[in-house]
This record gives sequence, structure tokens and C-alpha cells, in this order.
Amino acid sequence: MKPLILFCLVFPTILSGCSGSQSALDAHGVSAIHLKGLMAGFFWVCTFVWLLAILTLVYALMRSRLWEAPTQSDGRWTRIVVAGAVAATALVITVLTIASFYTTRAIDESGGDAITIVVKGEQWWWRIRYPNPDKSLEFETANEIHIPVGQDVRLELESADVIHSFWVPSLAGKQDLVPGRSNTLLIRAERPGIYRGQCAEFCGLQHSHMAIFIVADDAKSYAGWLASQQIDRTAAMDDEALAGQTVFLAKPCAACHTVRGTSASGTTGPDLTHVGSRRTIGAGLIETTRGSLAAWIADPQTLKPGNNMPMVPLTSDELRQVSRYMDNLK
Amino acid sequence: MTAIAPDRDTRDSHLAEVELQRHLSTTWGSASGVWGALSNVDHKVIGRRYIVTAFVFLALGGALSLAMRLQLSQPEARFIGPDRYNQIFTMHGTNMMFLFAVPVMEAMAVYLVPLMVGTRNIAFPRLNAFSYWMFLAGGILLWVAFAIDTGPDVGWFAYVPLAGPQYGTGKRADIWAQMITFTEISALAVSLELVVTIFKQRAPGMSLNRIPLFVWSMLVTSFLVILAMPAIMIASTSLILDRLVGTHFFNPAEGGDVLLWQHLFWFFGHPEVYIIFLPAVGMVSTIVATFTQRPVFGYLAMVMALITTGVLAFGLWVHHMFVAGLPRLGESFFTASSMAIALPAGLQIFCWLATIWWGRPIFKTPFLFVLGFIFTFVIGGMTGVMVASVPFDTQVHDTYFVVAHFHYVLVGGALFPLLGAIYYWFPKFTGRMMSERLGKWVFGLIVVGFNLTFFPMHILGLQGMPRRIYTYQPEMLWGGLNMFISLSVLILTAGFLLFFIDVVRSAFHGRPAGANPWRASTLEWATPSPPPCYNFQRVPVVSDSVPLWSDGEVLSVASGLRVDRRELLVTGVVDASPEARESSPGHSVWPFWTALATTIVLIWSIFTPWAVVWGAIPVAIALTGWFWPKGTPEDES
Amino acid sequence: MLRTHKRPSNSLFWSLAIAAGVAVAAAISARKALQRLDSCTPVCDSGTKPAQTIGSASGIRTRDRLGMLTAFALCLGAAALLGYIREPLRLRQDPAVTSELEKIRLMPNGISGAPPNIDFALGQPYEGASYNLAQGKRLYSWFGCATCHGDGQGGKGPSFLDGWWLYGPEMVSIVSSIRDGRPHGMPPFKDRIPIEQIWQLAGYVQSIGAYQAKVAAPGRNDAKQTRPAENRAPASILFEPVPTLVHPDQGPNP
Repeated sequence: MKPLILFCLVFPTILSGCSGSQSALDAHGVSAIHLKGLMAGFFWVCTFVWLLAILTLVYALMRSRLWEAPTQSDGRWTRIVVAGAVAATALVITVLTIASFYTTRAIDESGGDAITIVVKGEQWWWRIRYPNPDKSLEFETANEIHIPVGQDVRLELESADVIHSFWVPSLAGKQDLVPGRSNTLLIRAERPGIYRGQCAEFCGLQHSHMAIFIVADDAKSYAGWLASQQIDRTAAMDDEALAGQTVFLAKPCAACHTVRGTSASGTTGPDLTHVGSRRTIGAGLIETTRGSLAAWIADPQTLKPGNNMPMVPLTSDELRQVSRYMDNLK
Repeated sequence: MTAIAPDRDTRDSHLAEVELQRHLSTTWGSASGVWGALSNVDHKVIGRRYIVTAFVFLALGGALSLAMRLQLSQPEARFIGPDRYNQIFTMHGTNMMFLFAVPVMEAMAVYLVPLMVGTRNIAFPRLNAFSYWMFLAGGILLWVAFAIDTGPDVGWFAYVPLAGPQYGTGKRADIWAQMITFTEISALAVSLELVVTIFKQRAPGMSLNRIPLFVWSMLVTSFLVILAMPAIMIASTSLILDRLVGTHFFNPAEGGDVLLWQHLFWFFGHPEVYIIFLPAVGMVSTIVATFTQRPVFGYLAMVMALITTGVLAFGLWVHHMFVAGLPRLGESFFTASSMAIALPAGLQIFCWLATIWWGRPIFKTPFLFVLGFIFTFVIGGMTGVMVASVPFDTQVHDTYFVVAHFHYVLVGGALFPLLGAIYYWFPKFTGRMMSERLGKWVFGLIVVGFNLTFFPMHILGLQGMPRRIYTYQPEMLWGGLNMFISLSVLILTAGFLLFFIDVVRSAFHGRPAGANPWRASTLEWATPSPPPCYNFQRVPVVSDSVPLWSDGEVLSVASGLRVDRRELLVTGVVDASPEARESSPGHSVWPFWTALATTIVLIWSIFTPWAVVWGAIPVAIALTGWFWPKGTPEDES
Repeated sequence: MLRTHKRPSNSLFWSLAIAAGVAVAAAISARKALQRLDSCTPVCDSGTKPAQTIGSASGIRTRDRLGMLTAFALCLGAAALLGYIREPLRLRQDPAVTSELEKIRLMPNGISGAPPNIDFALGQPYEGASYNLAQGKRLYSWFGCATCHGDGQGGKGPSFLDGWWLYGPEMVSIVSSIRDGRPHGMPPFKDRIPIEQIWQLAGYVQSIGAYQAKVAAPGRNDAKQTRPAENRAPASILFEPVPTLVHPDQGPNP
């Protein structure tokens, strides 16, 4: 049993690099590392206590063969042992409580100045806003957050509708997004990488498909990404993409989605200005490729039943053009 | 007042045994047929009904869990869609918590407590009947709603705003909220009866320090119910008001608070799990005592542990809200209190270990289930200490780690003792023994199946799998463990099927049992199996806490109760000295009519608030009928 | 040719009634079986021979077992039937259906007319299904209807809550208003909202101005309270003696 457990624990962490690690045991953020240490401590203490209890039980059962009536001093001795066991329990839980308290302090401490990112939970995707004192440099994206390695990031968590929960286990514990409140989560990635998270509070039909990706880059890559997100267009468009843009603006797409630099300014759905550069679409549902974009646009309800994107009837030419356009928005 | 003949010949003091039985059977017997069933107020009949109904709900809830495991066995499986899956897991949790776990514990108490304290019937027998019909109505409401695709789909905890007026579409959440009202009325009624029975109807000589530990645990549980259930009734009523009438209890824009729901719900929700666990603790104490043939070590410690657990249970609820954004210092207080409750629980475990150490264990099925309980519940307790810690919880809250934890403590801590208790008390309920051979198979399959099913969930939770998801991506690499779990649940199912088969078979073909096949010490074993309708021919008198072990074959009795009308003995709270003879109501069909009228009000009020006004009329009529004096001999009292 | 099947109206009520009847029957049968475990015969046995009070002729035993099984099977069958009667939630319609939904037939004056057959074939889901009404409520806020119509009490556009319907309260009128626009300021949304969503929105607008509260209507918003919730039959509460005047030429013949 134990080798199996070890195997199950280790193996996925090796393989999950491709899709982003989502495991509390695969800690890459400061908070997650503290928490993993605490969890290991708890695990060993609790295992020891449980083994002690079970071994006592087994011995008590087997001892029945040598049964003799208990005496007065046996009763007194047992009372002392039981009282001692209760005292030991009290000691253990006091130690564990104090350890928890110190860990709580450690994960809530911020080293220096922190970058602020606003995360608003919607049913069933994440609206990300990078605020900036210069309003022209502010932008919105969806479902994917980029952060610089080694720097504190403060996530301001709000909700547009119901309670969600922001959880990227490899970086930090979770925090709920509660309507009517603004909660904060502090994260700091220690290593570059892609970290996957998921909504961890039941929020309706597609709670299962509400993933978030945090991409931790070194400072230079992060600055480059930030710059590319702040401008409206990065790639030149060929004829097919231009035709796709026309379709996009003529159809209901523009009523719900924003593509900065065009007349599309809908705010109901995610901002699509740089959708092609995101790793996944549909909040972690499928990898972003032209084909998957086409599949999503053609019938979002089969891929993610119950989500709020309606099926818009398009001809096959229109679909081809729009998917080229979307893929082009890098 | 006319001169009446002295009533000496109608008392039980001077009657011979056969004549006494004849009188008592006539006085305490119930009618047959449908009318008899609807009007029965015998606690044993009602208790049995309750137990059978609760186990039917257990089977239905188990079927739901099989559906969930089928859907989760593979990544991106398409067996069940998101809407149906949301209904299924909501139904599974709601059914197990409200329709199985609490009612079955109440049911065992309804049957056993009057027998254990040596009285003829539970206090307020008609209220007892009423509570069963309310429970049944609530269960039917919920399951019929599920059958017609209107089952609640917001989780068993129904957080607002998902369950609120804007995002909870349709009547699903209202049906959930109203079902709560049914089951809470039922639980409150039973708890009131138990408190009064335990305090005022004990056998003479059964002072507070001689009460069986199971009765103590039911007493503490009943107080927990009385203090915790109103919180959930307020919460569910506020939810219905928000949804139906447009109040703003949970609307932040108008001064309400989303977290208010969580506080109200969990203020009930945490004591709820102790309402389920404490009766099981009482069952374990009883079984350990009988199967080591000695009283449980440390009676006073055990009672104090029960009371401490009950009191502490009200100070833990915020541990369900550690990630909601409350101030960290306040949350840390709840870490301390949540860990502190490990102390009374640990004390109880140590006392049982001491009992087993100094006793002579008899390895029959009930005792095997107690061993399974210790093995499993302590694991659950350990993971409980883990999730009690705020930082630990920020990683495992709302993941499969928590699912594993609460199944370990609820199944290991409550269901295993319950199964052991069924094997233990089945001879008393039916007069037949269950099969020892099948019992060992049941034990093995269930304990092994349970651990194989739920232990891997700890790992899944740490690997990032959240709760309440209907599917997961293939690249998450959870598929292997999920498939393993889904296959292991078949072992668990086989164990349960075997259990039901054993129960049904033994009810018809089991080996006949005598009055005390286990050589136990408590009073219910002093009467034939199954007990006659009047429980005891004469009221027993006890002189210590293990009456059947110290008095041997002959038990002292008190006589002087009338046999021509239903009468029982009321005694003092502390030392159970006889105080008065009290008449006990006979059968009445009015509890059924009242339950029917209340059901109509409650279901109607899901659709319009005017139901409360107009529906009050049939309820008033039914209650008037209930309390109207009927000229029976019991009314003369 | 699309299948058409009538749905019983009050299916919820009748299914609950049937279920209650089945449950009572099941309870009676089960009780008959349990009765054999009841020891309260006119002469209560002292327990020396428990087998006698329980064991009886095997014929009765088999009959009781069959009774319990029949009751259980009836319950299962009833539940399955009820599940079948009630169609599960449809999260989106097939393209063939949505193209049919376009085919509303209006009178020459643009007011009222006949809905497409598909609406009846589906059981008029956009008027009676709470999911569709709730989605319509979301669409109302997402497509900025409130900029002209407020929370339903009007503004630059007419009010839905004063009890007056300029073009009639039928679904086809509202769908046409949204899809094709109306004179004096109501823009057409045919290129902005897919037809199924237009029907959802129309159903919601109809519930705003309803004179009688629909069971399926959504509850209040989780926002500042400005008018009664839709399930409180707002139009009958806020009825105005004259319609809010928007434009002197507003009406069927502008």
C-alpha cells in the first residue's frame, strides 16, 4: 500500500508540468511551501498518535488470554495512565495550534511592495484586471494571470454573482470570492512555471470547468508580456483574419465581448483582445488552437453545458474566418 | 363525586402473572389494520418504523453515491450531465444528513430509551407519532421532487447567493428549505420527549449516576438538538422569505450579508454532526460493556466527556468558514476550540481501551464493528485535527480531503457503531438473532470497502481535486485513483447488500433469542424479546448501574400502577424517587391528521405566503381534535 | 417533421398527488409485513416461545413478501414515470429548433400574431420554465435594456410595470419588438442576440409585466431594491391608470 501511495504522490507531479501543476504537494510558492511543511508535521504527529492508539487496542485484545480480575491498584494505575494520555493529547494539540498560528502569520506576511491584480469571479470564468495609475495602461484579460517570479502579488478577490474560491494549490491556499466583500490573497512564486488552479466553492452548473492558470515568468519575460497585453494589437492580419473580424463585429459576438481597437466593447463575456496568446479557452477547458476555437464558437454548450455563451449560428465560411481571427489575436 | 369502590383490584400489586399480562395487554395493546397503524402511539412500533424508513433512505442515498462514483470514474465522462449531477450530490448529502443520520439515531433512542430507563412508554407518545409522520412527509417531498427533476441542486448546505432568489432558479432550493422544516420539527419533537422521559420517567433507584451511558448520550444529544435546530430553521425560513417574498436577509446591497447564511447554517451544522456522533458513542459504550462483560471504565469521565463535547460543539462552527475572508485572529480561536474537542473524544477512546484492557473481549459482530469504529474514527479524528488548523485548511477546504475526513468520522464514527448496534439489539427488536457468519462477512466487506474507497480521497484532495465537480480533465492525472475508488465502492456496496439480506432473512428465519442472549446489564434485556406492548409487567427498581449483572436472575420491582388504564411512574430528576403515577395517552389518529395538515401548510407555502394564513385553519382544527378530551380512562387523571 | 407532444399543465401537482397515493399504498403493504413482528395480540406472549408469535403459515409469509416487493416496485415505477413526465433541463436547443423559433407570424400591424408550432411542441418553455426566465433576467442586464427601460419602470423607453402593453403582452409581440425593433427608439437586436436568447429575454420581460405571479418567475435581485420582485406580480401592484407616455406617436400606427 505504501509504495502505491508514494507512487501516486510522486508520479503526477512529474508529469503535470505540461498542463500546469495543481497539487498542494508540489509547492512552488512561498505560502504553499510553508503549508507543505506544516502538513508534513501534522501528518507525522497524527500518524504516530493513531499508531499508538491502534497498537494499544491490539495489545488489549490479545491480552485477554491472560485475563485475571483487575485489582484496586490496577484501577488507580489505569486512571493515572488515562489522565496522562489526556494530558499528552492536550500537549500535542497545543503544539499543533501554536504551529498553525505561526504558519498563518508567515503566509500573510508581505515582504515588500506588492503588485495588485483584481480578480473578479463570474459564472464560470475569471475576469482579471491589471490596474495601473496610468489608465491607458490598464487592461483586462481572462482566466490566465501572469506574475513575476519572486515578487509579492496581492490578488483582490471580488465576485460578480455567487461565491467562488480562488485556489492555486502549488502557490498558496485558497480564498473565497464573496459578493459584497473584497478579500485578499497574497502569493509569491519562487520558481518560474505554470500553475493551475480551480474554483473551489460550488458555484453552479460549470463549477467543474472553472480553472485558472498562473504563469510565473522571470522579470524580463513578465515585462514583455505586460507590454504586449497593454497594446491593442500585436500581429498583423491576413485577409482571412480581416474577414473574420468583419464577421465578429456583425454577429452577436461583439455585443458580449471586447476586442480593444475595434468597435466590439461588450463586457458580459471575457475580453478577447489577446485571446490567441492564452494557453486555454473556456477557463481551462481546452488548449487554445484554431481548431479548438472553432469548436468552441460552433457549439459552446456541448463542450461546457450550461455556460453563458449562446450558440450563434454561423456558416462554415464564417466559422473558418472567425477562428482565424481569434487565433490571430495574440 | 360519587362514592367509588376502592380501586385495589385494578392495581398491579395483587394480580397474578397471567392475569396481569392479560390486563396490561388489553390496556396497552393497539388496534390492527390501517386505522391501528395510523393511530399507534407505542414507542416501539414508532421506533421500528423510524428505523426501517431511515434505512430505506440510506439505501436510496447509497444508490446516489454509486451514480456519482460512476460519473467520476473516468475523466470527462458523460454518464451524468452537470445539472443532474448537482442534484445528485445535493440529494446525497441532504438525504444522508437529514433523512438518515439524525433520524436513525433518534429512532434507536425512541425504541430503546424507555426500555433502558424502565418505563412503559416514551413521554408525549402522540407527539412521537406526529414526529414520524412529519419525517416521512419531508422525505417523500424531497425524493418526489428529485424524481421530477426539481430536486435541490445547490449543495446540502445551500450557500447563498447560489441558493438565493437571483441565482437559485425554480423551486429547487425552496423544496430543500422546506424539507428542513419537516425534519427539524420531527427531531425537535423527539428530543423533547427524550429529555422528559430521561429526567422524569426513570425506574425508581436509577439516580443520575446509574443511568446507562447510551441514555446519557441521548440526553446530551437531545439538548444539542433543542439548541441547534432553531438556527437552521431560522436560516431556511429566511431563505424562503428572501426567495418568495423578497426580504433582504442575505442581500449585501440592502444591508444583508452573504456570510450571515454561513454563520446561521454552520452554527447548526457543526452541532449536527455531534448530534449524529454522540448517540453512536453511547452505542459503543453499551457494546463494549457487554462484550467485555464489565462496566465501561470511568463512568464519571465518560459522562463529563459527553457533556463537554456537547458544550464545545457550539464553539466550533467557524471552522467551516476559514477561507471566507474572516479576520485571521478570530479564525485562530476556532482552530484552538476545534482542536480542543479532541480532548473529550480522546478521553472516551482511552476509557474504552481501558475497558477492553481489563475485560474479556467476546469477538461477536457487534464488537467487531466497535473495533472497526476505533480503527476508522481515530483516522477521521486525526484528519479532523488537520483540517482544524486554519493554514492547513486553506489548502484542503472544499477538496476531496475533506470528503474523506467527514466520511471517516461519520461512517466510521456513527455508521459502524450503528451497524453494530443493529446486530446487538436486533434480538430485542424481533426476538431472533442475526446470522453471526454473515455478520462477519458484512463487517469485513464494509470496513475494507470503506477504507479502500475513502482513503485515496485524502491523496486526491492534496493533489488538487476540488469537491462537487461532475467531471475533471484527463491531464489532471486523477483518473487512476478515481477509478480505483469507483471500483472499491462496489466492495462497500456488496457489504451493505449483504447486511440488508441478513436483516430480512433473520427477521423471518433467525435463531430465536431469549430475553438476554448477550448477557448484557441494562434494563431492556430484563423483558422478553420482542418486548410486550407494556414493556415491563411491573416497574423495575434498580440499585446500581448494572442491574442485570448485580441482581442476577431476580430483579426487584415496584408495584401499584393501575392496569385498567395506561399509567406509568413519574420519578424525581436527580435520584429517581417515585413522585406520582401519570397517565399515558392511548392511541389516537389525531397526530396523523395534524401531520397531514402541517404538511399541506408547509408544501403550499413553497408557492405562496398566503398558505401560512389559510393553511393554519386545518392545523388548528387538527390540534383541537388532538387535545379534545375523549372521555377515556386516561383523561380522568 | 418535428414530434409534437402535449405536456400536462399542473404536472407538478398531479405528480405529487400520484406519488403521495403510491406512498400510502406502499406504506400499508409494508405495514402488513411488519405487523407480523408485532407481539401485541390480545394475549401478549411472555416470550417463552417467540417463534410462535412470529412464525406463521408459509403462505402468509410469501404473500407479505410479495406485497412488500410490489409496493417497492410500484414506488420505483412511479418515480420513473414522474421523471419521464417532467422533461429534464435543456441547456440549449438544437439548430433545427432555433431556426424554427425565427418563424413568428405577425399581424400586418406588427402587433401580436401566432407563435411558431415549435413553441407548442416544446411546451412553451420560454414562458413557464424557471431556467429560461432566469437566463432572460441575466440577458436583460447584460444587453443594457436598463439604459432605456430602467428596472422595468421605464425611462427613455416605455415601462413594463405600469400594466400597459403598447404592442400586447404575447410572446410573439415581445420577441418581434426585441428582434426587429420598434419605431421611436427601440433598436433591432437580431444581429446582437441569437434567437433562442431573444425568446428567453422575451419570456422574462413578459414576467416583469405579469398581472398574476408565475410560479416560475425569478425572485428579487441581489441588488438595491427598486421595485417588487418578478414573482410578486409587479404589474398588478404598480398599475398606472394611463401608460407612461414616451412619444406622442407611439403605438400601432406610428
